[in-house]
Amino acid sequence: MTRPSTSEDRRLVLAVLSREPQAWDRFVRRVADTVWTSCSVLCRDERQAFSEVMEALSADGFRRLRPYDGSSRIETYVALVARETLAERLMNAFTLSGPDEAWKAFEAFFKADIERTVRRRMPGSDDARREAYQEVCLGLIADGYRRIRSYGGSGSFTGYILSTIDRLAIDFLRRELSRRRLPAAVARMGETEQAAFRIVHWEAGPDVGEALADEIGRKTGTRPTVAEAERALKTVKAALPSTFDASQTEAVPLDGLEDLPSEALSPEEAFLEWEDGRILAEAARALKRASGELSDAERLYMKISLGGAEPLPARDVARLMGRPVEEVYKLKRKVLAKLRDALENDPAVKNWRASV
Amino acid sequence: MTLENRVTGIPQKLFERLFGDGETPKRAIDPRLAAGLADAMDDARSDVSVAELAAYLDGGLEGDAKERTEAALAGSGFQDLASAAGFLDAVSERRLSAPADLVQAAASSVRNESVRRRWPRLAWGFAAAVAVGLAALLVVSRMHGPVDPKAPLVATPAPDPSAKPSMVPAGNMDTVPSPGGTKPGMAPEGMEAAPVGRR
Repeated sequence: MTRPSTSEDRRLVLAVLSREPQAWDRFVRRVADTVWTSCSVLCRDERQAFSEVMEALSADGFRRLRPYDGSSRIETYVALVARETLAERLMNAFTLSGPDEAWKAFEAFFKADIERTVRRRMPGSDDARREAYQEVCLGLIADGYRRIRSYGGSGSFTGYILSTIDRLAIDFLRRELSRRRLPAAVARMGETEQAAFRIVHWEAGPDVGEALADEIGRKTGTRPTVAEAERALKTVKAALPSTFDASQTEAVPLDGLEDLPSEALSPEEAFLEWEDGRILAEAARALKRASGELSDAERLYMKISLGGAEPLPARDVARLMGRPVEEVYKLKRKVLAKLRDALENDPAVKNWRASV
Repeated sequence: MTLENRVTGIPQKLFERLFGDGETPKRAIDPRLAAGLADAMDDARSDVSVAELAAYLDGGLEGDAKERTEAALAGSGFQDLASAAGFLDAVSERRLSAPADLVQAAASSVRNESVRRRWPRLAWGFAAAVAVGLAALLVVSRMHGPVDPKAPLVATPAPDPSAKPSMVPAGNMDTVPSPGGTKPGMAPEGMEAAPVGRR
């Protein structure tokens, strides 16, 4: 059976919008299987979900169909509309119905996304990934589903949750797999203070103002005020030895390793921590500098590549970006060349070279 | 490797391993480093509409439209790209048939709604026509004095060139407007035809 072309799909949608006789009937029969399958992928109550999605498609004078312009297949478009509609239903469930019941539906909906994120962020043993999965879920459930309920309505709910899931996975990685340990005094402090410590002393991040508050918000899920962020950092500094200084993470001599923020690391382990931190800081600076010079396609390629520790096969990137594999290789070469230039021109690197 | 080469060489090797080479992925880098790099690149939230995402994944965008969508996806929207692609793969693999009763119910829902909406319009149109006719009758009767109840319903005013305007005879529906009515083929008020998509 020949599949209808997108121009035929477009004509069908226009007929529905014009309320031509039988147009809606034809449309329903055209997309019913796609909607049903979408509901079965995402939900446990497929029958109810199906009815709600169909109702959403016809609501407000077929509002959700109006943006369709034939640039995609109608099945692709309707499947993504179904996904978005069911995500909105989930969002409402956390306020309208019991949150524990809503959580079951939420986990079913986002399970594949959490698994995919964890799989890419943590190549290696299944045990580590299972633990990461649990930690992401616990982070979403924590404080009465605070992170889920914090969605402010800006942008899509799905996009917000996907960002939150990735953030939780990254935080788990950096917290649990890191060989660094918090100083005992800091480990006894609250989440905000610990985040401030990590940002300033391990990541060479901002230590003042809006930038600090933003970074703490990204780590903890709750953005403090600037005053609260600076107070947290002040509390941390008061608890650390007077000789301790954030700039030591950039260039600490080997005989100064005892001042590094760890109570239980050997000098060799502390040196490796310092090396990792320095390499990461250099690479991160190069990335930030280079990204300003990249085209949108190159930036997207880079973001996809940074989505995990294992590189994606070129064919998978090509499929995501809708490009031939050869074009993906070209993107990679351009991005690597620009990153190399950015590294060569890194001020810290230049200063180091000038000093030796 | 000399110390100098280590300063730039290690990060460069990091990137080369991260971006891979050929079809066989190389050994993964330390996941903390990858996560740290992703952290460094985290942008403000940027969303892509359902229509744009569908078109991008189906390869239906070109030129400026493609660049705009990639710019948004290169923000934090790339996670939605991967998620949507995975979801569409799952839908494509499952391929289930919708239950016939649900399909019938969905198809009927808008049909019933259309019928319910059409009847009030017709009723209102008829009522408006009757009201106009009665008003015309009233005006004519006032012009010509009391009406002989036995006289015919159709009024035929005497020809008078001193320019009394001609009136619509009572009962003549031909020129009565039908407020809010739609002609076949016209989109209802407020609905605009969307532009034809490109292929």
